[in-house]
Amino acid sequence: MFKAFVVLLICSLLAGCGMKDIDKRFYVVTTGVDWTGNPEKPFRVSLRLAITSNKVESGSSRTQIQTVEAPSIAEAVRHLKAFVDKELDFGHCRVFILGKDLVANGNPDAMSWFARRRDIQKVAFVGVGEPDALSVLKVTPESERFPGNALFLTFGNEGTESSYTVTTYLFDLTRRHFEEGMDPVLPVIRSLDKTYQIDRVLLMDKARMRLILNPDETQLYNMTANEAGKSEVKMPYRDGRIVLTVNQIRTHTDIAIGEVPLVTLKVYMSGILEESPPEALENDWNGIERQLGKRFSSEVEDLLYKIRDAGVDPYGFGLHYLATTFGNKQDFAHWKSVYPEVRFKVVTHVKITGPGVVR
Amino acid sequence: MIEEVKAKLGNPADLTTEIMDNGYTTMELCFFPSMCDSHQVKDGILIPFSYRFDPDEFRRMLRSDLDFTYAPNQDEWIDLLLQGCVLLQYEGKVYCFDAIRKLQTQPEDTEVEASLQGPQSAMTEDLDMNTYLIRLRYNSPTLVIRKLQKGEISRTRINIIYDRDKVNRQSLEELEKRLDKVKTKLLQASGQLAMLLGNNRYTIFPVTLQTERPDRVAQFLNRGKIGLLVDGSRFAIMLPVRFFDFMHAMDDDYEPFWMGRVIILFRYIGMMLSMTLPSLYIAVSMYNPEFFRVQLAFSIDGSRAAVPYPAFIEVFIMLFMIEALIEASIRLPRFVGSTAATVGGLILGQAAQQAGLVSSIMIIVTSVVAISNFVIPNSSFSYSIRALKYVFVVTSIFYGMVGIIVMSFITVVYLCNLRSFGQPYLALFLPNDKQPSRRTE
Repeated sequence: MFKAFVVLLICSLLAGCGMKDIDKRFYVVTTGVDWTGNPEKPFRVSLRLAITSNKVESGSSRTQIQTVEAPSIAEAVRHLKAFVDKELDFGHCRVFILGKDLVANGNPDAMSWFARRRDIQKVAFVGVGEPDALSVLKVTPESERFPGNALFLTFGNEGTESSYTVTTYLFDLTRRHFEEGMDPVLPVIRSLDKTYQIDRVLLMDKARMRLILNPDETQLYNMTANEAGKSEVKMPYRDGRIVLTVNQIRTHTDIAIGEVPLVTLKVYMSGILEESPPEALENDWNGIERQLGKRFSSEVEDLLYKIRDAGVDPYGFGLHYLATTFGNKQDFAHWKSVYPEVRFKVVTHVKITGPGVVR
Repeated sequence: MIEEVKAKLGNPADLTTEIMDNGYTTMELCFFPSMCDSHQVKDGILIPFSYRFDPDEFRRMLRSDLDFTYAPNQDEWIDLLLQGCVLLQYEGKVYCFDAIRKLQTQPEDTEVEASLQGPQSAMTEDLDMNTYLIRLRYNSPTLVIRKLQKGEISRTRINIIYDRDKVNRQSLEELEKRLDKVKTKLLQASGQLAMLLGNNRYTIFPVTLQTERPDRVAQFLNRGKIGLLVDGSRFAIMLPVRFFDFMHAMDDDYEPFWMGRVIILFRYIGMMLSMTLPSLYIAVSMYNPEFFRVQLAFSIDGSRAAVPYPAFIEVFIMLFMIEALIEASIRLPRFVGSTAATVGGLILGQAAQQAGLVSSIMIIVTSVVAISNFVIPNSSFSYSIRALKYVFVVTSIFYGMVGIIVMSFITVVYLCNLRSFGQPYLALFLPNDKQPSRRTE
């Protein structure tokens, strides 16, 4: 018995030093990294720190922003520790915002800091701040109950589920950064007065920003690449407009291997008409379905050619091609050489399940 | 006879000795009036001896009546008297008349193991009544009852009961071995006997089950278990038992199948919560706050802002309060008990948090721990869980989440290692009924 007690006592000395009370930690909710242009200290790191309070109500979230410029992100964070009274904790930092200038000019290898820190969750969301990350950090939405919660809700699909918002996780960004035949995609977060506007997407190659899609293109991209439901397809019809709310969308990619590969994207979608001129559906149900499909196909084809011409591959067609061939280096070199001439064909099957009303 | 008895007992004041003369013959009589039923003495001895005296009939009665036993051995006399018998000497022969005063004449209501729709009668503090209750429920010719006595002073009667066909022989032998070793002066409750029989003094989990429900005893007998009835205690000791028997309430068998299963599931969840929740609170708020959702982490952070002590001191404060409250409400007389609960509840609920001593989340943790502990149907098992909780708390203070995971593993290993009278404690399945019965008697 005495021996067991001594062993237990010795064991208690083995305790680590990770012990820090929850109220002695300062939670970083959003991290922003900007490009300063200064070669000595190219990074400006800003942390949005949560100031928690006992009362939880709308608009009660308070945060504190600390900014420092440094030669690297790791040094910046180390330096920022000297600015605050509690231990910085990245465990709940779910949003990382990269400044637009940083994406345009920065060295992507410096970003590996996010992937290396053990306390940063790999399911954190990454976005691009426009005009810069700090201005996005400074936005304090009125409706926010918890510090930083607005962005968590937006990206996590817990709150709003918008087909204009593309969600990129940190692990996915890392993967796309290294994967051959697939390129990173980042949502663009723009700061408005008291809220965020996240309806664009930024396409990168392995190192730099290449293209920013407008909101309509972003939705098309989101529907075809991420199968985002709760989206819409619209077209003018006679003297009115038809808007189809898509409840379900499935896509299927086929790559015909040839001298110049042909990418066939089949899209199956179903939904209800939310807006249409009176009596339109009864007269020409199949016709409307066909016309919607045709219009959607041509729009997507335009988008695909635009993306191809920018020299990026956010859909991962290259990866698909490698998967259907032997996937060795020659194959990828061949794909890269023919990618600028790749042809796209989009076939869309639209199914209207109803007019949305019961008569 | 009277002289011998008086000499041996030291002439106690409450001993009644009489030489009775009905005009024809005399009879010597001695008994403790406090231990005997005076009506029985009157009906059984005095009336036949006085009003309706017939020497032949009286002699015949002494010889054939079941209540009278011939007691020629002088050494037995004192024992018989102390058990509440009447000794009488008639025509030079000493007889003993069984007139033991019974306090309980009917089964009591269940108090500890209440049931909604099951039988409401519980065992009493009288051994014969309990034996009757079990015979009534387990009305089988194979039921064996063996008698013995333990305790040098109390000389408590104990009945060992089991089903001769179904009983587990190995456990029975083990029980006999251990019963031989039991040496005590006073044996007052079945819990005491259970402890003396147990594996060793340091077992955390009980290896015998105490129950006041005769239906439960019958069910266990049917499963081949052994029961021990102790005179003066309303609890039967059942053995060997498994871990899962403690989490089983009799209501589970009387309710519809799925409802019963769901309730059992809740009970296990409750047990786990009551065991690990305080330690989880420590581990998560001191070591791994990223374990929570961000929203919860922030509200815990906010509510802890006013608390000056680290989380484990907070946990100890609250756990001590709730344990003190539970203990107080068990020990206090009933009419003061409600006051204690009200005062304690107020302090725990509101004041402690407002004073900044503990966080509001900790109050929820404490109440969940207390309430889910009461979900465990067996009180000695719930004591074990209550004690184990502190082991988890201490581990989590030093090792955080990893400590809790390792500790749960150790607990499972310990349970696997544990044996209840030779039977594995954590056995999941009961032995199959189709096994050939091991009949030896």
